[in-house]
Amino acid sequence: MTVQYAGFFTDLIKAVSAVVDEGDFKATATGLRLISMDPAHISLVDFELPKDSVEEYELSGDVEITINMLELLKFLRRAKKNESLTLNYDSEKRKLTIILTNQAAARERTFQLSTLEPVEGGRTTAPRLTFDATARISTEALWEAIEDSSLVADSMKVTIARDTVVFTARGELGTVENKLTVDGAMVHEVNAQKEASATFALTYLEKIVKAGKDLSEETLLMLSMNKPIKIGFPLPNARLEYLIAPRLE
Amino acid sequence: MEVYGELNRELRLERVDCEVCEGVPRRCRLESCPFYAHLIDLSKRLASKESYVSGFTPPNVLVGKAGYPRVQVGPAVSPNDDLRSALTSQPSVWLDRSIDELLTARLSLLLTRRQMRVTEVRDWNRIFEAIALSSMSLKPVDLEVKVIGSPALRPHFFARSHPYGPSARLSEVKVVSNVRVPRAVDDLAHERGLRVADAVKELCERGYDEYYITRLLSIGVLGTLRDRRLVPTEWSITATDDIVSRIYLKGMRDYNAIHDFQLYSSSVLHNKAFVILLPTPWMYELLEGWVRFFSIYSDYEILRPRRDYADNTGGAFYAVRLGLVKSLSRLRKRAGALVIFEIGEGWVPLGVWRFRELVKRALASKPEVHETLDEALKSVRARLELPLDLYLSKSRLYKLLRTQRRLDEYLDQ
Repeated sequence: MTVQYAGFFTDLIKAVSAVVDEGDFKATATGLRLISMDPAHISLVDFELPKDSVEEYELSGDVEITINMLELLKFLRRAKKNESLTLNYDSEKRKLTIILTNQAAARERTFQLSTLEPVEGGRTTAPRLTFDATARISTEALWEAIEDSSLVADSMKVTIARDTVVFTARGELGTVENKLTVDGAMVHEVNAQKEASATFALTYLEKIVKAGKDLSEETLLMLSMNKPIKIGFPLPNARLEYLIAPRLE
Repeated sequence: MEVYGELNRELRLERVDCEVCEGVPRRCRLESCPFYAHLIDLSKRLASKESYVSGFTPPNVLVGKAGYPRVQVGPAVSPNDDLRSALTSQPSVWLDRSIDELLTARLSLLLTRRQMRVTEVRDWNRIFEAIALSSMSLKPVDLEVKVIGSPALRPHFFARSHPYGPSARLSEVKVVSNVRVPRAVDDLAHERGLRVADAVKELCERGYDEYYITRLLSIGVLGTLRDRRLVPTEWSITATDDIVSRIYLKGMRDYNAIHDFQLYSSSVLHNKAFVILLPTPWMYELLEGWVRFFSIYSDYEILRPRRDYADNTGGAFYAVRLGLVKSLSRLRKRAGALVIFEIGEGWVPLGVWRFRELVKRALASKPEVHETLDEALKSVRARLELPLDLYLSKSRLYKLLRTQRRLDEYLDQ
């Protein structure tokens, strides 16, 4: 598999590693996919890189590649801006080869990484959930709300109403509220049949949105009353969606 | 380094509940102090023995914090050769001694003190050389010290240092036995280009324990020339706990996550430790309960080591954290931890080492495995003296874990 911009792929892997330390990737005829929960089963990441969105994609049969994400990231962080990335996987030897190529300078760097024993079970399909309210908002505004909230509390309540998206945090020392209204520049779209709200741990929100903001200026939030939230980062050529379980008082 | 300074809270907490003085310094008399009374003889003997004392140091070099940056420094020396094994500088074995044994051994140490500017270590004069060498040794070092004036004996118990016996002003010190300083440490002491944190990391990788690293850090023989200074013992203990546990925390990412709630426990010397390992990313909370004061103190951190000083539990927070991450690394487990540490009425303040060592000992035992946090806590409840609910009312992690739902409840499996 070859990706034109190594940096883009690195950002994607960073985003996946916000949830999992061990990535269980499945390479099939349609592309590269990972659906996985963190060890505590509080958050889930759904990642897909369709075969059409990469330069080159060849496969001799479906394979499962289990990788220590931090080890992979160590290598990927070496990538420079103008380098392309090629990944080769030898399923017999369980070795992943990472080739960084700078066409202009005619330089090629090769790294090899041992992969891990595949984990039994694991999900292969995205979970189906229905949502009462969705909002498309600026990722920066969401990140700001998270940073503000972490000043007073360790969780944040997300409310999507007919024409507003509100983030509130309540702590012993004070409260913080971030209110985004539909006619402003921060909210691109709100679709709420009825008002929905739920509270989420900031630790998870922080890790996920921090990774997502490097990739997408826009965030899709999907919510039902006191149910998990779906956070999607719309990308032109990849899927990056998360679920976080709520906190209930 | 100010962040590691002592807090009023500790003065309030770690005091001796003495039946005679009832903790009121005004009423405290040496002659009637049950802890110190038997030392008066020793002190007199020392005073009459001219001003030369030969003995050994475990090794133990104390740097005071009063008057910083002009501090008192000197080796603690025991003239009593029979105490060599009792005074070992390996706190892991102290847990098996009685409080009386521990106190007697500690109080038999003659504490020598000499005023130095903290930056004077860069000049490496003759007296400092002897002090530094004895601190760098792994084994006890025989010393000959000359003290000025008669030794003063004042009862004192502090949170992070052991109590000491008589103290006297140091005028000369001579090393009279062979000192064995590990080659690597000698190299680090001569290497003036390496930062303190990197030097500590190297020592950790070479397997030197936190007690040895604390001694080296305190005596100011690590780091770049600009870094080198005496660090008051109390501060260096917490600084070492913090630096070393951060190193272990980084390594923890490579270990296996746990999938249940594992309860480890151990109790000794009126201290009880209950460690509940959590199937979560790194989060850690210490709930420190003092039976004598019927009060709970707590501090916590989530995902990463906290940046601000743990005000409520002080040095204990860092000592427990080090015990935790060292054990987790040995077990190759990745987990969060909720630690309940209960200090019974019979405890006499002998330092924070027992937080570290008791947590290590607990994690060396076989755990009880529970499906839920509440089940694990139920098992702890009966073994506590203070009510569990009192602990939980102070806990941030419990609140977080109790209210946090899991995705499985909502997903089609």
